Amino acid sequence: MMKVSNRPGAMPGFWRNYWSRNRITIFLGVVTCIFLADSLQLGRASAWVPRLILLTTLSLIVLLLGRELRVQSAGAGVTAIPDTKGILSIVPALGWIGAMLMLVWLLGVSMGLMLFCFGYLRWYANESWSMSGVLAGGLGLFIQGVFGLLFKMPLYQGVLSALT
Amino acid sequence: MDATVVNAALEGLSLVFSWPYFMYTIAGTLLAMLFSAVPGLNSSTLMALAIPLTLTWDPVPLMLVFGAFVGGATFMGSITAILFNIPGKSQNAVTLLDGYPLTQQGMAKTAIGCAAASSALGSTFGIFFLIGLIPFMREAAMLLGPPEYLMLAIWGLTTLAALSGGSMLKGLIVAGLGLQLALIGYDPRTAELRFTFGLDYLHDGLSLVPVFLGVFALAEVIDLMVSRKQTLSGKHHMEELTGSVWEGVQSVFRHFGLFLRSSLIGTVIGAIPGVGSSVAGFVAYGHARQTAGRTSRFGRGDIRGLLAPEAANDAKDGGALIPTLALGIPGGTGTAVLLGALTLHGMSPGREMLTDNLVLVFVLIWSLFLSNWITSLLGLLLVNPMARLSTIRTTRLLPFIIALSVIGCLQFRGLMADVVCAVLFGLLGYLMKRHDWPRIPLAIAIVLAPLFETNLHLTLRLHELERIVFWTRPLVLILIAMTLVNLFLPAISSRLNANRQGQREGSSAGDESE
Repeated sequence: MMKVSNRPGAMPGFWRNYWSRNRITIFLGVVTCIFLADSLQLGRASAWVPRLILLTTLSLIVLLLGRELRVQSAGAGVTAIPDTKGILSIVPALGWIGAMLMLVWLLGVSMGLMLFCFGYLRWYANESWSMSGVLAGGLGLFIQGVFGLLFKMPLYQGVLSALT
Repeated sequence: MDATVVNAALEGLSLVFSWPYFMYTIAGTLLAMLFSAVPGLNSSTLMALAIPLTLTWDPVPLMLVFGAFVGGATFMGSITAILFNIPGKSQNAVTLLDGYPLTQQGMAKTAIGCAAASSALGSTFGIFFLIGLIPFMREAAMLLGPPEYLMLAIWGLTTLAALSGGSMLKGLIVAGLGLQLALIGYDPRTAELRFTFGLDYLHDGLSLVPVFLGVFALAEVIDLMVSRKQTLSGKHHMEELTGSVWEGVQSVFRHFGLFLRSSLIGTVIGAIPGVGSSVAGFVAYGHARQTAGRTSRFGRGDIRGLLAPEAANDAKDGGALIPTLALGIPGGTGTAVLLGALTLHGMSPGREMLTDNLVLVFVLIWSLFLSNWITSLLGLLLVNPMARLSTIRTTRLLPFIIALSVIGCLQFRGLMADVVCAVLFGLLGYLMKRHDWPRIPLAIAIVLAPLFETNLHLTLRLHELERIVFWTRPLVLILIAMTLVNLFLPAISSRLNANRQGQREGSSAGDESE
C-alpha cells in the first residue's frame, strides 16, 4: 500500500487519499443533495417529512466527512486504499451481468438465461463445451419445468418474441 | 385455561392427524418449500394462487393447506441465505449476516442444523404462546396506537444502526439513505409524487424484492466474480467441511436463554399488526448482539447471530395469527391473504371466529405447527446434499444464483425494470461491502419507512386534535428510553472503557517506576 502525506497542505496526495477513503460517503452526500433539491418542488404538506429525513442524513454525512478529515490530519501517515485495480477488476463482472440483462430482455428468461449460462461457463469459467452445454441445458429445463409447467407461471418472453 | 379452549385444541389436533387430512398438511408443506426456494416468492404469493383453486373446498382442508403454506415457506428462504447469501424473503436478510460467513468457513452443516432446530423450536414457542393468549387476544391487541408504532419504528432503526458493526455514524447514514429511498413514489397522505425524477417505474416506489436481491445476492455474485474465489466454503470436498448438524442443533440448547428471548421477541413483534415479518428477525439479531459480550464474532460467523433471527422468524408466525384471528387485522402480507381466503369462505375473524369456529382456528394452528416441524426435519435430512453445494466451484454455481435472482425479480411483478433495479442495487451493495459499510440498516430502513411515515402523520394529527397526549403514554416513554440507550450507550461505554484502560496503563507505569 502506498503511504501518503497526512498534511492538508501537501496536495494532491492528502486529498487523493481523502477521496479514496471517503468516496462512498461523498457519493451518498451527492445522492442526498439531489433528493433535497428535488424536494424543493414538493408542496408544503408533502415536503416536510422528506426534508426532515434528508437534512438529518446530510448532517450525519457532513459529520462523518469532518471526522474523517480530522482523523486523517491528526494521523501519522494514513495509508491510502488501493483503488485502481479494484475498480478495474469489477469491469468483467459488470460486463457479464450486462450481457445477461441484454439476453433476458431480448430473448426472455428461459432462453436468455440459458445462453448466458452457456457463454459464462464456456468463456469466463473455461469449462468444456460439453459441461457448459449440460449445465446450461439443465438450467433451461429447470426453469421451464419448475416455473412453466409445475407452477404455471407466466415467464418473461423477451422483446423479440413480441416482434415475431 | 378455559375448558372450551382445551376441548377445541384437542379436537383440532385429532382432525389434523386423521386420514386423509394429514396428507393436506404434508402436500401443502412440500409445495410451500419448493415454491419458497425461489427468492422473492413467498407464502402470500402461493396462497393468492391457491385461493381460486380452494374456493369449493370444505373449511378443514382449507385451514390445513393454508396453515401449511404459512409454516412451510419460512425455512427454505433461510437455506438460500445460508448457502448463497440470497435472502429468500426480506425476513431472511438477517439470516445471511452470520449464516453465510459460517458457510464460507466450511460450517454449512452446523449452520443448517442450527437454523432447522431453532426454526422448529421457535415456531413451537410461538404457537404455544398463541394458544395461551387466545382468551386475552382482543384486549392485548388494542394496547398499541400510532405513537407506539412510530416509536417502535424509530427504536428499530436505531437498534440496527447502533449494532451494524464498526461505525454507528455509518449505520445511521445508511438507515437515512434507506428512508430516503423508501420515500420514492406517492405520498401516503397527499398522493403527491416524490423523487420519481420523471420515471414511471418509480411511481409505486421501490419494491423490496429487487432491492434486497440486489444489495445481498447480486452484490455477492459480483464479489465472487471479482475475488475469483474457488468455492463458497473455500473447501473442495465434503470431508473437509468442519462442524456437524448435531453441533448446530446443540447450539440452540447451549444458548437456550437467547433462544427463548428471541422467540418471545418474534412472537410479540409478529402479533403487532402492520409491523411486518422482517422486523422480528432484525430486532432479535440486535438483541443477540447487544447481549453477546465483547468476544462475539457477529457478522463473521457467530452461531448466535443465526440462532436468534431464525427462532424469531418462525415464532412470529404464531404471533401474527393473534391480530388476524382476533381483530381481523393481518399481522403481515401472508396473514392478509389468509384473511382474504377466510372471508371468501364466509368466516369472519373476531369474536365469532374465536367462539363459533374455534376448532377451525386450532386446525390452522396445528397445521402451522406440523408444517414447521416437517420443514425442519426435512432440512436436517437434506443437510449433506445442501452442504455439498458449498464445495462446488463458484463458477458453476454463479449462473444458477444469477438465474434464481433474475427469476425472483421477474416473478414479482413481471417487470424487466425490476431486474435492472436489482443490478444497480447489486453494484451499490458490492461497493458498500468493499468499503466496509453496513448493508443491513438500508434493508431495515426500507422495511420500516412506511410504518414510520404513516404513524408520524397519524400521531401528529391525533396530538393536534388533542385525542392523545404523546408524552404520557407509558409504552412510548419506554421506547424513547430504549432509543436513547441505543444512541448513547455505545459512546458512553467506549469512553468508560478508554478511561479504565488509561487508569490501568497509568497504574502499571507507576508500578514500573517504583
